[in-house]
Amino acid sequence: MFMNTLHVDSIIKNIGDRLLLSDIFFTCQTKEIKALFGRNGTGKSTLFKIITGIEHAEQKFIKVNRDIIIDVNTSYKKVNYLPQHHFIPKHLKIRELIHLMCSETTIGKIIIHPIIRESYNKNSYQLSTGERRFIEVMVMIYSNAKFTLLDEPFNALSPIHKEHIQQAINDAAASKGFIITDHDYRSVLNLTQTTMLLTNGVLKQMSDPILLKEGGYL
Amino acid sequence: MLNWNQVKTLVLFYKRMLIPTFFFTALIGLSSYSITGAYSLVQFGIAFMFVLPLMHYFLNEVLDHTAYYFYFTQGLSKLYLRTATGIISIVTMIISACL
Repeated sequence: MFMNTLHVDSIIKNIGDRLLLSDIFFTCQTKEIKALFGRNGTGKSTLFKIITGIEHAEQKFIKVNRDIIIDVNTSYKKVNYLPQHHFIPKHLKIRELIHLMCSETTIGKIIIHPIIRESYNKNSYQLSTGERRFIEVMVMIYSNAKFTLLDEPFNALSPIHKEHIQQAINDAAASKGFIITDHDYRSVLNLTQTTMLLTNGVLKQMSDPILLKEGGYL
Repeated sequence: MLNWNQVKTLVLFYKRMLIPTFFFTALIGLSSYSITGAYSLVQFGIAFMFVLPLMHYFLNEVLDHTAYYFYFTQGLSKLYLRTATGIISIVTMIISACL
C-alpha cells in the first residue's frame, strides 16, 4: 500500500495580541493514529481548521505527499476535519451523506451498525444528539480522505458506541492516518501510538503519556 | 471544475432553498400585482435576485450555520457558496429580463 504523509510545518496563528500557535511542526503517515491533547483554549481545534484550510493562519506550510494544502478546495480529498459540533445539514438524509462521503467499499462497514441502518432514510434533524454524533464520526472515519482529524469524537456517545468508534478507527487506520483530540483521554490513549501536547502555543511530542501530567494537562 | 459529488452537493444545498425562494418571490409578485395591476417576468427576476441571497443567509448563516463544515468536506468553501448564490440570482434576473 502507498504510504501517504501529512506534513504540517511553520504554523503561526495570532488571536488579537495573543500568540495562539507558535511554529507548530509534526508529520503523520498512513496507519498512524496520533493524539493531540491540550487544555481548553490552547488552539487544538484552530490547528485542525488551519490544516484543512478552513481557518487562516499568519504562516503555514501544509502538504500531503507533494500536494500543498491552501484551502478547503485543495484539502478535501486529502484531509477531512470532524468538528466538535454537529455538521450534517438538517435537511440531509443519512443515505445521501454516506454516499457523498464514503466509497462503495466502506459503505458496507458503516451500515452494519444498527443506528445507521435504522437512520438510513431519515433526515439528520430526526435523530437524537447521540445518534447524529455517532453517524457523523463513523462517516468521517470511513471518508475517502487520506487523513482524518477528529475533534472530540467521543463526546456525547455511550460507552458501547465509543467502543464501536475505537474499532472503526483501528480498522480504517489500515489505509489512512488519524489525529484525534478529545478530553476523554483514556479512550484516545487506547488507540494511539504517539501523543502530542499543545501548551502555551507550543506543540510537544510526548514519548510517554505519563508526561501529560508533567505538561500540566492531567 | 466541479466533480460529480460537488454537483450533487450543490443540488442538495439549493434544493431546500428553492421552495421558500419561489414562495416569497411569488408573494412579492402578488403584492406588486395588487398595487400596479401588472406582473411580469422582469419583476419575478428582480424579486428572485433579492430573495435567494436572503434565503441563503437565513437558512445557512442563521438556522444551520455549522452545516458549512459538511460543504467543506466536499471542497466547497463559504466564499464559493456565497458567490454561487450571487451568480445564480443575477443570471436568473438577466434571463427573466431577456424572455
